[in-house]
Amino acid sequence: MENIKVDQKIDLRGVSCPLNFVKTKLKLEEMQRGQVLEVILDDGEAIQNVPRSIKEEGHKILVVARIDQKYFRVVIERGEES
Amino acid sequence: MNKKQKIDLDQLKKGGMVKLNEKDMFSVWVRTVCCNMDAKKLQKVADLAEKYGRGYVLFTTRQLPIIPFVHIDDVTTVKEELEKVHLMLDRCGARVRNTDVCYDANICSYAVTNPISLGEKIDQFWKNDPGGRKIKTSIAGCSKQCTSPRVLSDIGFVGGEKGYDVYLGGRLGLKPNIGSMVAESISEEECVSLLKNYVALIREEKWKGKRGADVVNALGVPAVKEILNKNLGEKHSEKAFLCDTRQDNKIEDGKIILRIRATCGEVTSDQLRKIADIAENYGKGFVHFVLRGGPEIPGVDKSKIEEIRKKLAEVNLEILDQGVDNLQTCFGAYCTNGIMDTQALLKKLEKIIKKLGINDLDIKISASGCPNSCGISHLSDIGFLGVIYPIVNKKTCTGCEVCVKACKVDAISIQNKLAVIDYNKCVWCMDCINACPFDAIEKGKKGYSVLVGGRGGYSPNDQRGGETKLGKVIKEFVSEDEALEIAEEILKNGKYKS
Repeated sequence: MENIKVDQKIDLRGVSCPLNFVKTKLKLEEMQRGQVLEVILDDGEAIQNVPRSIKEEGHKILVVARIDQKYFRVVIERGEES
Repeated sequence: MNKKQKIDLDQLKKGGMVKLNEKDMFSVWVRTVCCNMDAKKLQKVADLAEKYGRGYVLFTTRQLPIIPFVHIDDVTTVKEELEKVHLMLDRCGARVRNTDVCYDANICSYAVTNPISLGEKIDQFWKNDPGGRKIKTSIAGCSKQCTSPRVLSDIGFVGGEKGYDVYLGGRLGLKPNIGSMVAESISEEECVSLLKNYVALIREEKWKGKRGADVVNALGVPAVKEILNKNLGEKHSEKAFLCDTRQDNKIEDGKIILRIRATCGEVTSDQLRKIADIAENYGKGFVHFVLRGGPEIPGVDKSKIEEIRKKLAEVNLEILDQGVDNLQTCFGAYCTNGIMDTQALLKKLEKIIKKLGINDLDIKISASGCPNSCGISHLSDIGFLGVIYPIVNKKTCTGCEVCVKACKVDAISIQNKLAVIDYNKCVWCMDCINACPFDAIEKGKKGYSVLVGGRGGYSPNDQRGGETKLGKVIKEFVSEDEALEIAEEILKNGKYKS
């Protein structure tokens, strides 16, 4: 496992698009610039869309890693004030 | 309270709002009933576009109006304002879509069945739909198929003298397909039963994320036919929901459907108010939304055309009675998937067509910003698709698989922890480039693919004739200038008559 300190975690298994994106976005807005959020997302639509949209919001994706058959772990560094 | 928390999460979940390529900007999709909208509602849409958007509305290929560039903070307000005049947001994503129809048989002289009547029964059937699958349906009242049901719908209904012929598996997008006939000359009630059978089939777990075309390809036409034609005689007791613009009487002699040009489907708020006003004073009080974007006002008296022409000219609008058919596009430059600025292309092409003095309304031209073909490029005599060449950056790729999932044509695999693109399979969309969380798939060359010979419906009377067909790519990765040159050449020598 990579050496990244995670400040907050959010489990979005079973949460559909675009709600999962909105929840991730709201969580990141509560955090400070440079802090790190770990998100658990469903395979499929969620993993295709959420990292992309979060990246567009100006945050940085540090890690995308498959957990098992059904879920992915995404680690995000909170970017500039959006 | 955090301002952002005012966002209506439930509404976002249901759809009706699609993100555009500017930060925090959304498009608001307004639902139409039987693809019509009355003057009062149109005025409201015009006002909202002015107040919360950028002062214009798009008449789209989904046969409904879209207000582009509404800020995320205003989305809830716009939705509430729409509700004041009983307008709702449309559905999108993995959901059942609005049934697209052409005209009431009392309005259109070509209609041999009444699409509105079937549309009402289908809408009633969907009323309690749980969603979860993308299902598109559309209906045409005659073989001209103005709504292109064979391509634009999972289940398409085409009216004939003895009832509806039903086609399964139409779609555009990256894997375009013409639907296969699964039933012939069946009644409205039987159409609803067939749809019910399809819904039961597609809701099986193994078809999750699949479309009618996938079902046909996997099972074959005979097997699908058997499944869909079971117990068609079943009665549907539900009271049919009524279309509020339904016509009870045959339209009077001398009344026509007035077509208005709206290049790229763009209509300003001022123009829309004028169109609404004309519909109220000269037509049946409503406007019809068609595939190719030109607003249509049914029930206009022929003798009033010149008078209306003058009124339209006041807001720089013209009647669609010369030149070629309305030049239509998707979101083009505004879309998160848009590769090329189709609006710019078509506006330049419009000038070329005027210069050439071409006068044949059967010529259909459209453009899509990417290969998804939302601008129905495959169904036009000349079609354009924005295309881009993806290149994997081996230094930044982490082999995370997101691109493999994003690719709809299975052109990417992970080899030694690196994404590898099979360029023989690639269709040049931007899905992998957009999906990569690390920007490790870079943009190579981009341009237009040019297609010719597409046709949405059967057209026995024009020179091209024949059945529905998909346009064929004749050139790839040409610049805007080259695309315009090719189009001009085709228009001059008539080579679009493939």
